Amino acid sequence: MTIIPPRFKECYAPLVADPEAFFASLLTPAPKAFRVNTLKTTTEHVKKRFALYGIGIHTVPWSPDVCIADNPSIGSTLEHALGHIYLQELTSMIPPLLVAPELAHAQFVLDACAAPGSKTTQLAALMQNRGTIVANDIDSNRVRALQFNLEKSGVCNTVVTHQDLRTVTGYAFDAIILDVPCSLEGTIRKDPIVLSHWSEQTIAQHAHLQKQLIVHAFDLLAENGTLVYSTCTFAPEENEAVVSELLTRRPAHLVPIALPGLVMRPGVTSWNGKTFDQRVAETRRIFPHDNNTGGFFVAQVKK
Amino acid sequence: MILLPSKKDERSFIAYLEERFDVGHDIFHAYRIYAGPKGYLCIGPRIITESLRYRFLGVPIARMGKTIKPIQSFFTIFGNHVQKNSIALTKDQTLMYIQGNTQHLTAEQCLTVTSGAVMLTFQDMILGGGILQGNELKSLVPKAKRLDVKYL
Repeated sequence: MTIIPPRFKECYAPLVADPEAFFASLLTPAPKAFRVNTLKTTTEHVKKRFALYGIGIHTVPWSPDVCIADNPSIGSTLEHALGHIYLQELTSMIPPLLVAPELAHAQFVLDACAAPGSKTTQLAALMQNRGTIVANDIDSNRVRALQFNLEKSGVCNTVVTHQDLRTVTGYAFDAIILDVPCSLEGTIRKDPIVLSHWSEQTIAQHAHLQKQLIVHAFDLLAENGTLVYSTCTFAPEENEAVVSELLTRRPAHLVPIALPGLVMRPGVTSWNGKTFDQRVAETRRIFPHDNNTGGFFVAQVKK
Repeated sequence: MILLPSKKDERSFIAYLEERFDVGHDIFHAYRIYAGPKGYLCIGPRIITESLRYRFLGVPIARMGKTIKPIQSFFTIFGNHVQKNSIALTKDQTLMYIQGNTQHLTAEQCLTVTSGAVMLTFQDMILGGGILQGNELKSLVPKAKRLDVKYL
Protein backbone atom coordinates (compact mmCIF):
# COMPACT_ATOMS: atom_id res chain seq x y z
CA MET A 1 0.00 0.00 0.00
CA THR A 2 1.33 3.41 -0.98
CA ILE A 3 1.74 5.93 1.81
CA ILE A 4 2.45 9.56 1.08
CA PRO A 5 5.24 10.84 3.38
CA PRO A 6 4.02 13.52 5.83
CA ARG A 7 6.76 15.90 4.68
CA PHE A 8 5.56 15.56 1.08
CA LYS A 9 2.04 16.46 2.17
CA GLU A 10 3.29 19.36 4.25
CA CYS A 11 5.27 20.65 1.26
CA TYR A 12 2.55 20.49 -1.35
CA ALA A 13 -0.72 21.09 0.48
CA PRO A 14 -0.28 24.89 -0.01
CA LEU A 15 0.18 24.35 -3.75
CA VAL A 16 -3.38 23.23 -4.45
CA ALA A 17 -6.87 24.45 -3.59
CA ASP A 18 -8.10 20.98 -2.66
CA PRO A 19 -5.25 19.08 -0.99
CA GLU A 20 -7.40 16.08 -0.06
CA ALA A 21 -8.47 15.44 -3.65
CA PHE A 22 -4.91 16.02 -4.81
CA PHE A 23 -3.32 13.51 -2.42
CA ALA A 24 -6.13 10.98 -2.95
CA SER A 25 -5.60 11.11 -6.73
CA LEU A 26 -1.91 10.24 -6.28
CA LEU A 27 -2.92 6.92 -4.74
CA THR A 28 -4.97 5.74 -7.70
CA PRO A 29 -3.51 4.39 -10.94
CA ALA A 30 -3.62 6.70 -13.95
CA PRO A 31 -5.79 5.70 -16.93
CA LYS A 32 -4.22 3.74 -19.78
CA ALA A 33 -3.63 6.28 -22.51
CA PHE A 34 -2.17 6.13 -25.97
CA ARG A 35 -1.57 8.30 -28.97
CA VAL A 36 -2.55 7.25 -32.47
CA ASN A 37 0.53 7.31 -34.69
CA THR A 38 -0.76 9.28 -37.65
CA LEU A 39 2.33 8.37 -39.66
CA LYS A 40 0.84 4.88 -39.95
CA THR A 41 -2.89 5.02 -39.41
CA THR A 42 -5.84 7.17 -38.40
CA THR A 43 -7.80 7.48 -35.18
CA GLU A 44 -10.95 6.34 -37.00
CA HIS A 45 -9.22 3.16 -38.12
CA VAL A 46 -7.95 2.42 -34.61
CA LYS A 47 -11.41 3.04 -33.16
CA LYS A 48 -12.93 0.53 -35.58
CA ARG A 49 -10.30 -2.09 -34.82
CA PHE A 50 -10.59 -1.67 -31.05
CA ALA A 51 -14.37 -1.91 -31.31
CA LEU A 52 -13.86 -5.34 -32.94
CA TYR A 53 -11.70 -6.36 -29.97
CA GLY A 54 -14.31 -5.14 -27.52
CA ILE A 55 -11.90 -2.54 -26.12
CA GLY A 56 -13.62 0.75 -25.45
CA ILE A 57 -11.66 3.92 -26.17
CA HIS A 58 -12.47 7.58 -26.17
CA THR A 59 -10.53 10.60 -27.36
CA VAL A 60 -9.69 13.46 -25.03
CA PRO A 61 -11.22 16.88 -25.73
CA TRP A 62 -7.84 18.53 -26.31
CA SER A 63 -6.51 16.33 -29.13
CA PRO A 64 -8.28 14.13 -31.70
CA ASP A 65 -5.43 11.59 -31.75
CA VAL A 66 -5.07 11.06 -28.00
CA CYS A 67 -7.14 8.24 -26.52
CA ILE A 68 -7.92 6.60 -23.20
CA ALA A 69 -8.71 2.89 -23.14
CA ASP A 70 -11.01 1.10 -20.73
CA ASN A 71 -8.86 -2.03 -20.94
CA PRO A 72 -5.25 -2.12 -19.76
CA SER A 73 -4.39 -4.84 -22.32
CA ILE A 74 -3.90 -2.41 -25.21
CA GLY A 75 -0.21 -3.37 -25.15
CA SER A 76 -1.28 -6.78 -26.51
CA THR A 77 -2.98 -5.44 -29.63
CA LEU A 78 -1.69 -5.82 -33.16
CA GLU A 79 -1.84 -2.03 -33.43
CA HIS A 80 0.69 -1.70 -30.62
CA ALA A 81 2.96 -4.35 -32.13
CA LEU A 82 2.91 -2.53 -35.47
CA GLY A 83 3.54 0.93 -34.02
CA HIS A 84 0.09 2.20 -34.97
CA ILE A 85 -0.41 3.35 -31.40
CA TYR A 86 2.11 4.65 -28.85
CA LEU A 87 1.43 4.08 -25.16
CA GLN A 88 2.14 7.38 -23.47
CA GLU A 89 1.09 9.24 -20.36
CA LEU A 90 -1.48 11.89 -21.23
CA THR A 91 0.42 14.89 -19.94
CA SER A 92 3.57 13.83 -21.75
CA MET A 93 1.74 14.56 -25.02
CA ILE A 94 1.23 18.22 -24.17
CA PRO A 95 4.59 19.83 -25.17
CA PRO A 96 4.52 18.76 -28.86
CA LEU A 97 0.87 19.83 -29.14
CA LEU A 98 1.78 23.32 -27.94
CA VAL A 99 4.26 23.79 -30.79
CA ALA A 100 2.09 22.07 -33.42
CA PRO A 101 1.41 25.35 -35.31
CA GLU A 102 5.15 26.11 -35.49
CA LEU A 103 5.94 22.54 -36.60
CA ALA A 104 3.96 23.01 -39.81
CA HIS A 105 6.75 25.27 -41.09
CA ALA A 106 9.68 24.19 -38.93
CA GLN A 107 12.83 23.02 -40.67
CA PHE A 108 14.96 22.23 -37.65
CA VAL A 109 13.56 20.95 -34.37
CA LEU A 110 15.36 19.76 -31.24
CA ASP A 111 14.06 17.28 -28.71
CA ALA A 112 16.74 17.96 -26.14
CA CYS A 113 16.17 15.12 -23.64
CA ALA A 114 14.49 12.76 -26.04
CA ALA A 115 14.71 9.17 -24.77
CA PRO A 116 12.71 6.99 -24.92
CA GLY A 117 11.15 8.88 -27.81
CA SER A 118 7.53 9.55 -26.85
CA LYS A 119 7.73 13.21 -27.74
CA THR A 120 10.10 12.72 -30.69
CA THR A 121 7.71 10.30 -32.37
CA GLN A 122 4.85 12.68 -31.67
CA LEU A 123 6.80 15.59 -33.15
CA ALA A 124 7.55 13.51 -36.25
CA ALA A 125 3.87 12.68 -36.64
CA LEU A 126 2.91 16.35 -36.30
CA MET A 127 5.56 17.20 -38.91
CA GLN A 128 4.39 14.29 -41.11
CA ASN A 129 7.99 13.06 -41.25
CA ARG A 130 9.17 16.30 -42.94
CA GLY A 131 11.89 18.71 -41.82
CA THR A 132 14.62 17.57 -39.46
CA ILE A 133 14.37 16.55 -35.82
CA VAL A 134 17.51 16.24 -33.73
CA ALA A 135 16.68 13.84 -30.91
CA ASN A 136 19.32 14.10 -28.21
CA ASP A 137 19.80 12.26 -24.96
CA ILE A 138 22.72 12.06 -22.59
CA ASP A 139 22.02 8.47 -21.51
CA SER A 140 23.64 5.95 -23.81
CA ASN A 141 21.33 3.04 -22.97
CA ARG A 142 18.22 5.14 -23.34
CA VAL A 143 19.42 6.30 -26.76
CA ARG A 144 19.03 2.69 -27.96
CA ALA A 145 15.44 2.63 -26.72
CA LEU A 146 14.90 5.94 -28.51
CA GLN A 147 16.13 4.57 -31.84
CA PHE A 148 14.02 1.42 -31.36
CA ASN A 149 10.88 3.51 -30.90
CA LEU A 150 11.69 5.72 -33.88
CA GLU A 151 12.01 2.67 -36.12
CA LYS A 152 8.87 1.08 -34.73
CA SER A 153 6.92 4.30 -35.25
CA GLY A 154 8.14 4.75 -38.83
CA VAL A 155 9.98 8.00 -38.10
CA CYS A 156 12.60 8.85 -40.70
CA ASN A 157 13.18 12.60 -40.32
CA THR A 158 15.31 12.23 -37.21
CA VAL A 159 18.95 12.31 -36.29
CA VAL A 160 19.78 10.81 -32.90
CA THR A 161 22.62 12.40 -30.95
CA HIS A 162 24.11 11.46 -27.62
CA GLN A 163 25.52 14.57 -25.98
CA ASP A 164 25.32 16.62 -22.84
CA LEU A 165 23.02 19.40 -24.03
CA ARG A 166 25.29 21.97 -22.38
CA THR A 167 28.04 21.10 -24.89
CA VAL A 168 25.84 21.53 -27.98
CA THR A 169 26.61 24.79 -29.77
CA GLY A 170 26.32 26.41 -33.17
CA TYR A 171 22.73 25.55 -34.06
CA ALA A 172 19.56 27.56 -34.51
CA PHE A 173 16.42 25.52 -33.97
CA ASP A 174 12.93 26.66 -34.93
CA ALA A 175 11.46 24.75 -32.00
CA ILE A 176 12.92 23.00 -28.96
CA ILE A 177 11.25 20.57 -26.59
CA LEU A 178 13.09 20.54 -23.27
CA ASP A 179 11.51 17.88 -21.07
CA VAL A 180 14.17 17.84 -18.41
CA PRO A 181 15.23 15.14 -15.94
CA CYS A 182 13.28 15.87 -12.77
CA SER A 183 12.20 14.44 -9.42
CA LEU A 184 9.23 12.68 -11.13
CA GLU A 185 6.64 13.54 -8.49
CA GLY A 186 3.97 13.72 -11.18
CA THR A 187 4.52 10.06 -12.07
CA ILE A 188 3.62 8.69 -8.63
CA ARG A 189 0.34 7.28 -9.98
CA LYS A 190 2.27 5.21 -12.50
CA ASP A 191 5.20 4.34 -10.27
CA PRO A 192 4.60 4.86 -6.52
CA ILE A 193 8.22 3.92 -5.77
CA VAL A 194 9.05 7.52 -6.68
CA LEU A 195 7.81 8.45 -3.21
CA SER A 196 10.42 6.29 -1.50
CA HIS A 197 13.21 8.19 -3.29
CA TRP A 198 11.66 11.59 -2.72
CA SER A 199 13.77 14.19 -0.96
CA GLU A 200 14.18 17.95 -1.00
CA GLN A 201 17.88 17.47 -1.65
CA THR A 202 17.12 15.66 -4.93
CA ILE A 203 14.86 18.51 -5.94
CA ALA A 204 17.63 21.03 -5.34
CA GLN A 205 20.09 18.96 -7.40
CA HIS A 206 17.66 18.72 -10.31
CA ALA A 207 16.87 22.43 -10.14
CA HIS A 208 20.55 23.32 -10.42
CA LEU A 209 20.93 21.31 -13.64
CA GLN A 210 17.58 22.45 -15.03
CA LYS A 211 18.58 26.11 -14.78
CA GLN A 212 21.70 25.42 -16.82
CA LEU A 213 19.74 23.42 -19.40
CA ILE A 214 16.99 25.97 -19.95
CA VAL A 215 19.40 28.86 -20.51
CA HIS A 216 21.52 26.78 -22.88
CA ALA A 217 18.47 25.54 -24.78
CA PHE A 218 17.24 29.12 -25.17
CA ASP A 219 20.61 30.04 -26.70
CA LEU A 220 20.08 27.28 -29.29
CA LEU A 221 16.82 28.83 -30.52
CA ALA A 222 16.58 30.67 -33.83
CA GLU A 223 15.11 34.19 -33.76
CA ASN A 224 11.33 33.83 -33.19
CA GLY A 225 11.94 30.21 -32.26
CA THR A 226 9.84 28.51 -29.57
CA LEU A 227 11.04 26.58 -26.55
CA VAL A 228 8.75 24.37 -24.49
CA TYR A 229 10.12 23.60 -21.03
CA SER A 230 8.40 20.83 -19.12
CA THR A 231 8.74 18.56 -16.11
CA CYS A 232 6.59 15.84 -14.60
CA THR A 233 7.02 17.17 -11.10
CA PHE A 234 5.25 19.51 -8.70
CA ALA A 235 8.22 21.21 -7.04
CA PRO A 236 8.22 24.95 -7.87
CA GLU A 237 12.01 24.84 -7.46
CA GLU A 238 12.13 22.72 -10.65
CA ASN A 239 9.40 24.63 -12.45
CA GLU A 240 8.62 28.31 -11.96
CA ALA A 241 12.00 28.98 -10.32
CA VAL A 242 13.77 27.58 -13.38
CA VAL A 243 11.69 29.62 -15.81
CA SER A 244 12.18 32.69 -13.63
CA GLU A 245 15.93 32.18 -13.86
CA LEU A 246 15.70 32.15 -17.67
CA LEU A 247 13.60 35.33 -17.70
CA THR A 248 16.20 37.03 -15.53
CA ARG A 249 19.16 35.98 -17.62
CA ARG A 250 17.81 36.13 -21.18
CA PRO A 251 15.36 38.28 -23.21
CA ALA A 252 12.76 35.52 -23.26
CA HIS A 253 9.01 35.98 -23.60
CA LEU A 254 6.43 33.63 -22.16
CA VAL A 255 3.58 32.60 -24.43
CA PRO A 256 0.10 32.08 -22.93
CA ILE A 257 -0.81 28.39 -22.92
CA ALA A 258 -4.21 26.78 -23.45
CA LEU A 259 -5.49 23.45 -24.65
CA PRO A 260 -9.29 23.51 -24.87
CA GLY A 261 -10.80 20.97 -22.50
CA LEU A 262 -7.71 20.53 -20.35
CA VAL A 263 -7.80 22.14 -16.92
CA MET A 264 -4.49 23.93 -16.26
CA ARG A 265 -3.54 26.12 -13.33
CA PRO A 266 -1.32 29.21 -13.49
CA GLY A 267 2.25 28.95 -12.30
CA VAL A 268 2.97 30.11 -8.76
CA THR A 269 4.78 33.44 -8.43
CA SER A 270 6.27 32.82 -5.01
CA TRP A 271 7.26 29.76 -3.01
CA ASN A 272 8.85 29.14 0.37
CA GLY A 273 9.56 32.84 0.87
CA LYS A 274 11.07 33.32 -2.59
CA THR A 275 9.42 35.55 -5.17
CA PHE A 276 9.79 34.73 -8.85
CA ASP A 277 9.54 36.90 -11.94
CA GLN A 278 5.79 37.64 -11.97
CA ARG A 279 5.51 36.59 -15.60
CA VAL A 280 5.79 32.93 -14.54
CA ALA A 281 2.06 33.11 -13.85
CA GLU A 282 1.81 32.42 -17.62
CA THR A 283 3.30 28.96 -17.11
CA ARG A 284 0.90 26.11 -16.49
CA ARG A 285 0.51 23.32 -13.93
CA ILE A 286 -1.52 20.19 -14.59
CA PHE A 287 -2.66 18.48 -11.40
CA PRO A 288 -3.74 14.82 -11.35
CA HIS A 289 -7.11 15.47 -9.69
CA ASP A 290 -8.11 18.09 -12.28
CA ASN A 291 -8.03 15.87 -15.38
CA ASN A 292 -7.32 12.35 -14.09
CA THR A 293 -3.77 12.45 -15.48
CA GLY A 294 -0.24 12.50 -14.13
CA GLY A 295 1.19 15.73 -12.76
CA PHE A 296 2.94 18.10 -15.15
CA PHE A 297 4.37 21.56 -15.57
CA VAL A 298 4.84 23.38 -18.85
CA ALA A 299 6.14 26.75 -20.03
CA GLN A 300 6.25 28.03 -23.59
CA VAL A 301 8.95 30.57 -24.35
CA LYS A 302 9.58 32.65 -27.44
CA LYS A 303 12.90 34.19 -28.43
CA MET B 1 30.84 12.47 -40.19
CA ILE B 2 27.95 11.97 -42.55
CA LEU B 3 28.42 9.08 -44.95
CA LEU B 4 26.58 8.70 -48.23
CA PRO B 5 26.33 5.43 -50.17
CA SER B 6 28.14 5.09 -53.47
CA LYS B 7 26.11 6.21 -56.49
CA LYS B 8 26.28 2.63 -57.73
CA ASP B 9 24.74 1.24 -54.53
CA GLU B 10 22.04 3.87 -54.50
CA ARG B 11 21.13 3.25 -58.14
CA SER B 12 21.12 -0.54 -57.62
CA PHE B 13 18.84 -0.20 -54.64
CA ILE B 14 16.34 2.06 -56.41
CA ALA B 15 16.38 -0.21 -59.48
CA TYR B 16 15.82 -3.24 -57.24
CA LEU B 17 12.79 -1.64 -55.59
CA GLU B 18 11.32 -0.70 -58.97
CA GLU B 19 11.83 -4.18 -60.36
CA ARG B 20 10.82 -6.15 -57.27
CA PHE B 21 7.98 -4.04 -55.86
CA ASP B 22 7.09 -1.72 -58.72
CA VAL B 23 7.62 1.33 -56.54
CA GLY B 24 8.40 4.67 -58.17
CA HIS B 25 11.96 5.95 -58.06
CA ASP B 26 10.75 9.12 -56.34
CA ILE B 27 9.46 7.56 -53.09
CA PHE B 28 12.43 8.94 -51.20
CA HIS B 29 12.21 12.43 -52.67
CA ALA B 30 11.55 14.04 -49.28
CA TYR B 31 14.51 12.24 -47.72
CA ARG B 32 18.11 11.38 -48.33
CA ILE B 33 19.77 7.97 -48.42
CA TYR B 34 22.73 7.59 -46.07
CA ALA B 35 25.30 4.85 -45.59
CA GLY B 36 24.91 3.24 -42.18
CA PRO B 37 27.21 0.75 -40.46
CA LYS B 38 27.62 -2.86 -41.68
CA GLY B 39 26.38 -2.18 -45.20
CA TYR B 40 23.02 -0.76 -44.18
CA LEU B 41 21.30 1.91 -46.19
CA CYS B 42 19.40 4.39 -44.04
CA ILE B 43 16.72 6.87 -44.94
CA GLY B 44 16.94 10.16 -43.11
CA PRO B 45 16.15 13.85 -43.24
CA ARG B 46 17.22 15.73 -46.35
CA ILE B 47 18.80 18.63 -44.49
CA ILE B 48 21.29 18.04 -41.72
CA THR B 49 24.28 19.94 -40.47
CA GLU B 50 27.58 18.44 -41.58
CA SER B 51 29.17 18.99 -38.18
CA LEU B 52 26.50 17.03 -36.34
CA ARG B 53 27.96 14.22 -34.24
CA TYR B 54 25.19 11.72 -34.58
CA ARG B 55 24.62 8.29 -33.08
CA PHE B 56 21.91 7.21 -35.52
CA LEU B 57 20.98 8.93 -38.74
CA GLY B 58 17.45 8.14 -39.91
CA VAL B 59 16.34 4.51 -39.99
CA PRO B 60 17.93 1.53 -41.75
CA ILE B 61 15.78 0.22 -44.60
CA ALA B 62 18.03 -2.22 -46.47
CA ARG B 63 21.31 -4.06 -46.31
CA MET B 64 23.66 -4.11 -49.27
CA GLY B 65 25.79 -7.19 -49.82
CA LYS B 66 25.98 -9.81 -52.52
CA THR B 67 22.26 -9.28 -52.78
CA ILE B 68 20.04 -6.38 -51.78
CA LYS B 69 17.97 -7.11 -48.67
CA PRO B 70 15.18 -4.71 -47.79
CA ILE B 71 14.52 -4.89 -44.06
CA GLN B 72 11.43 -4.51 -41.90
CA SER B 73 11.46 -0.69 -41.73
CA PHE B 74 11.35 -0.37 -45.50
CA PHE B 75 8.02 -2.19 -45.61
CA THR B 76 6.50 -0.57 -42.54
CA ILE B 77 7.40 2.95 -43.71
CA PHE B 78 7.13 2.72 -47.49
CA GLY B 79 4.92 -0.35 -47.87
CA ASN B 80 1.97 1.68 -49.12
CA HIS B 81 3.96 2.26 -52.34
CA VAL B 82 4.45 -1.47 -52.99
CA GLN B 83 2.52 -2.63 -56.06
CA LYS B 84 3.57 -6.27 -56.39
CA ASN B 85 5.07 -9.20 -54.49
CA SER B 86 2.72 -8.59 -51.61
CA ILE B 87 0.87 -11.38 -49.78
CA ALA B 88 -2.23 -11.12 -47.61
CA LEU B 89 -1.96 -13.35 -44.53
CA THR B 90 -4.76 -14.95 -42.56
CA LYS B 91 -5.23 -14.26 -38.85
CA ASP B 92 -3.36 -17.39 -37.78
CA GLN B 93 -0.56 -16.72 -40.26
CA THR B 94 -0.30 -13.15 -38.98
CA LEU B 95 0.19 -14.41 -35.44
CA MET B 96 2.93 -16.79 -36.62
CA TYR B 97 4.55 -13.99 -38.59
CA ILE B 98 4.50 -11.46 -35.74
CA GLN B 99 6.15 -14.01 -33.46
CA GLY B 100 8.95 -14.43 -36.00
CA ASN B 101 8.12 -18.00 -37.03
CA THR B 102 8.79 -19.55 -40.41
CA GLN B 103 5.65 -21.00 -41.98
CA HIS B 104 4.26 -22.49 -45.14
CA LEU B 105 1.73 -20.53 -47.15
CA THR B 106 -0.92 -22.00 -49.43
CA ALA B 107 -0.17 -22.42 -53.12
CA GLU B 108 -2.95 -19.96 -53.86
CA GLN B 109 -1.29 -17.24 -51.76
CA CYS B 110 1.95 -17.68 -53.70
CA LEU B 111 0.38 -17.60 -57.17
CA THR B 112 1.09 -13.97 -57.97
CA VAL B 113 4.44 -13.61 -56.22
CA THR B 114 7.96 -14.79 -56.92
CA SER B 115 10.57 -16.09 -54.51
CA GLY B 116 12.55 -13.40 -52.68
CA ALA B 117 11.57 -10.47 -50.49
CA VAL B 118 7.82 -9.97 -50.11
CA MET B 119 5.55 -7.62 -48.24
CA LEU B 120 2.94 -9.05 -45.86
CA THR B 121 -0.42 -7.57 -45.05
CA PHE B 122 -3.31 -8.48 -42.77
CA GLN B 123 -6.68 -7.06 -43.77
CA ASP B 124 -5.81 -3.43 -44.59
CA MET B 125 -2.65 -3.24 -42.48
CA ILE B 126 0.95 -3.57 -43.57
CA LEU B 127 2.71 -6.06 -41.30
CA GLY B 128 6.21 -5.85 -42.72
CA GLY B 129 8.45 -8.00 -44.87
CA GLY B 130 9.44 -11.61 -45.29
CA ILE B 131 11.53 -13.87 -47.46
CA LEU B 132 9.61 -16.35 -49.60
CA GLN B 133 11.26 -19.52 -50.93
CA GLY B 134 8.74 -21.65 -52.77
CA ASN B 135 5.84 -21.44 -50.35
CA GLU B 136 8.00 -21.16 -47.22
CA LEU B 137 7.85 -17.73 -45.60
CA LYS B 138 10.53 -16.47 -43.24
CA SER B 139 9.55 -13.53 -41.05
CA LEU B 140 11.67 -10.37 -41.09
CA VAL B 141 10.25 -9.17 -37.75
CA PRO B 142 13.31 -8.42 -35.57
CA LYS B 143 13.51 -10.34 -32.28
CA ALA B 144 13.00 -7.21 -30.19
CA LYS B 145 9.75 -6.44 -32.00
CA ARG B 146 8.20 -9.90 -31.61
CA LEU B 147 5.39 -9.21 -29.20
CA ASP B 148 2.77 -11.45 -27.70
CA VAL B 149 -0.29 -10.26 -29.60
CA LYS B 150 -3.66 -11.24 -28.14
CA TYR B 151 -5.93 -8.90 -30.08
CA LEU B 152 -5.94 -8.92 -33.88
